[in-house]
Amino acid sequence: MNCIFCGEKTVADGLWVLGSHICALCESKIVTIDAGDANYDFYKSGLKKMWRCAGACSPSAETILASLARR
Amino acid sequence: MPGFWTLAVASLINGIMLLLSYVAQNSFPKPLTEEEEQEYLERLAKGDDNAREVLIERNLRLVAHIIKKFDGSGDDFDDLISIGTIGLIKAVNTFNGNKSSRLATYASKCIENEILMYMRSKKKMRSEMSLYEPIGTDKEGNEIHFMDVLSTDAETVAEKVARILDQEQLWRKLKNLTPQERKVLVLRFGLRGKKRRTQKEIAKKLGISRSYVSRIEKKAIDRLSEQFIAEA
Repeated sequence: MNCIFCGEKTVADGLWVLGSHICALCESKIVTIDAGDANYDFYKSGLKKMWRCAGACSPSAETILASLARR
Repeated sequence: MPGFWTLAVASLINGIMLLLSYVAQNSFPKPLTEEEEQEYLERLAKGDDNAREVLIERNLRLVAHIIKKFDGSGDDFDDLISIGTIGLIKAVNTFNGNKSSRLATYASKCIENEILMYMRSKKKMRSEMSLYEPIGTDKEGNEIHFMDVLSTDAETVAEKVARILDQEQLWRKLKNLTPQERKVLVLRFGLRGKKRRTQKEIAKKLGISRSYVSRIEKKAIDRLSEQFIAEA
């Protein structure tokens, strides 16, 4: 699987979080990135992708709404 | 066009739903016990990459918990959860067991700090505007950028020209004064790019008293004023 940020196929290094791969280079960039950095939105969007991919394995919207209603 | 908006809204709702599913269903990976956390931290210290993944995944619940604090801030839920995750990844990579007792405590601070820094940065950016920012379209439908409407203030140029003309006029009238009066006014008001001097400095330069410089200055200004009034 390719890195969710740069698309590089470097599975040997880096991280696997919620089924998504983050290459070592992108991980090191995340660790040092500042909120005011021009590339911040790029990594923010990449992580959204990770959450969405992970959420795809979750129950349907109806189940979620029903669960929320019970709370 | 309505089809596009339906698709966009549906996509947005779908995204939020998928994220909410984690919070609502408590389907986050279970948090680590203190012993488990210690074990994985030791494995991480020995260079076990898998331990880092476990430490991140098993603390994701913390991200969801902390972003609840920022509910009502007006920020997008998707954005906050992603920013919180950046904070968590930073926390796991920079955690030092000798300084903090538990990773969860340190990670909570990192996640919250990451969100606060993002909000501060966004607030700062709001007061800035790119020169390439589209600000509308012209009559022909072409996009107008901020830099297209920027120009030198016309009044400033007009004022500058007027000031130069006034100086030229004044310079011509100075020729009607005595050389000493002219010299005093040039030095006193820094005319023709000269440095402005005090009466004391002029007195020293011309070898006369300060009060005499003051009288020369007053007389010269009066004579100049008369010339301007006569001309008007």
